[in-house]
Amino acid sequence: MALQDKKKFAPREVAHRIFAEELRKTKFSAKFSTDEKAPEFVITPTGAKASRLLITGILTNREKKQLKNGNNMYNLKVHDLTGDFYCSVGNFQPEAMVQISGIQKTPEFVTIIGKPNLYTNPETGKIYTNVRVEDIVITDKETRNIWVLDTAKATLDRIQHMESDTDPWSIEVKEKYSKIEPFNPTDWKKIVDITLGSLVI
Amino acid sequence: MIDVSKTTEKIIDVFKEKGVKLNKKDVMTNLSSLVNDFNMPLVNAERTIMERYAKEHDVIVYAPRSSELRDIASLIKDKEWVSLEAKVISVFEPEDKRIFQKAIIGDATGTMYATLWARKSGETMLKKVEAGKCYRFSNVITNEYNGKISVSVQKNADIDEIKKSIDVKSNEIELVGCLVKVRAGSGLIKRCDVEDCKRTLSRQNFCPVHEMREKFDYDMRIKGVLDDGVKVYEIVMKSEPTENISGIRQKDAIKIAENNPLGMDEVFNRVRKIILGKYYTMKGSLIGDRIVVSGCEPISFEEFRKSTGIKLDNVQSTLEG
Repeated sequence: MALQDKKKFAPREVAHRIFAEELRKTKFSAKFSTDEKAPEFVITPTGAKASRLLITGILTNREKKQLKNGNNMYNLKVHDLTGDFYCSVGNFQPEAMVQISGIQKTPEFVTIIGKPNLYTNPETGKIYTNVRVEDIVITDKETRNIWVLDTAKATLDRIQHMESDTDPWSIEVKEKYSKIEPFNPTDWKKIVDITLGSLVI
Repeated sequence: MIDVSKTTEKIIDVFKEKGVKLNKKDVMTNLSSLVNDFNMPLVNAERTIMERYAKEHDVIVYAPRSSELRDIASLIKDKEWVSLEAKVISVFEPEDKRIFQKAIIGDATGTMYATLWARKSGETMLKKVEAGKCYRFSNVITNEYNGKISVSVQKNADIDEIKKSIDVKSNEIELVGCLVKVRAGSGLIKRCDVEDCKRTLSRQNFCPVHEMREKFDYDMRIKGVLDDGVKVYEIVMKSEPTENISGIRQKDAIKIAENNPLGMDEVFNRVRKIILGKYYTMKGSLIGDRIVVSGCEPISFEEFRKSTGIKLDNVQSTLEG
């Protein structure tokens, strides 16, 4: 039994590098396995398939909320030069709760490792993204700048991949987004360029 | 009809060496019956017959060293009988009494784990293998677990030291990525003080083999995950790079642990705060499925930029244009 259990143990998912602007425009998610515990992946406009994100930016807002059951939760806003990531920490992540309770002041450079989720506003039908924090730590400007480079490179690589007309995954993603906002490599490259430009100034 | 005459000769020769004369016709009939009537693979039939005669004549024989000499990289199938010439890279004392030794062995094509099973009295005892020496492992069997191949040294296998030097394929790798997870068991740890053991002790100073320890040695390490956006790597970092990147020396870590109500957890928290989410260049070797990191440096913005090939001066000019 023990042997079989270990075989089932899923390998850790990669933490993808995605700018806030791209996550904001993310409107699809899917499971790629029928397994009950299989992770949910968000499918971004440039074709990233992510169940974990690495985010570095400026923590601009940190809001503590008391839930009906008396537990606390935090809603966070993290700016990454392209836009804001909306993140949350709840009691299901006790380690992250300890970490965020130690980060008192804003603004502050932070790194977050967390799981992206989509949810739909039942009244308007609009789809929003939220990142459930697994780890959050204070970081520095140098690390933020490295993260921007890293994310720029990853985004450019994905754009290049999407420009292929034969790759089945690229075709599928383009098809998914065609009704919302058709894939335009120039627009995405421009976002990357502007973001990199703001590192130089 | 499969021809069993060659195998018959081989069996008779093996027993002749032990001073036992077998009836050729007898052996051939038995062998042929297993192979042709019962469709047993010849190798297995050979072993079965030999075991039967060995018991009958009260002698100890092992299946002849017919297993083919192979390179480590060529071993991809489960349950294959093979022989290897390899260098022992490191040896671990096992936690399980049924295991005599566990070793990492390597040749010019790769490295793998070898498990040397303990033998019962009456069976030929194994000599302990030593790290740095080269051996011929005869009649060992491959074993697949979690998609990784190792070899098992069972009672009919032999290990002989060989006087030649084997160059082991270098499994040194260099990685650049972000440390996205610092696992429990990082920071300051206690190790069993028994020579050749050095296992990590639990909170209660309990060693899985030597039980409660009053004395122990301190050590520092980091267990975590390095992530380059494409792949994840489980890493274990040795004490020197751990001290370097955390900026906490072992003697200071001991002081922190001794003077703090949280003890070693306080060291863990401090180390994690400093290193989690930072980008590093790590040098290490791939052992099993993790990377043992012997060198680690934080990467600077400029070094990282070079590795991505992104040119920032171009970006500026396109913006101005």
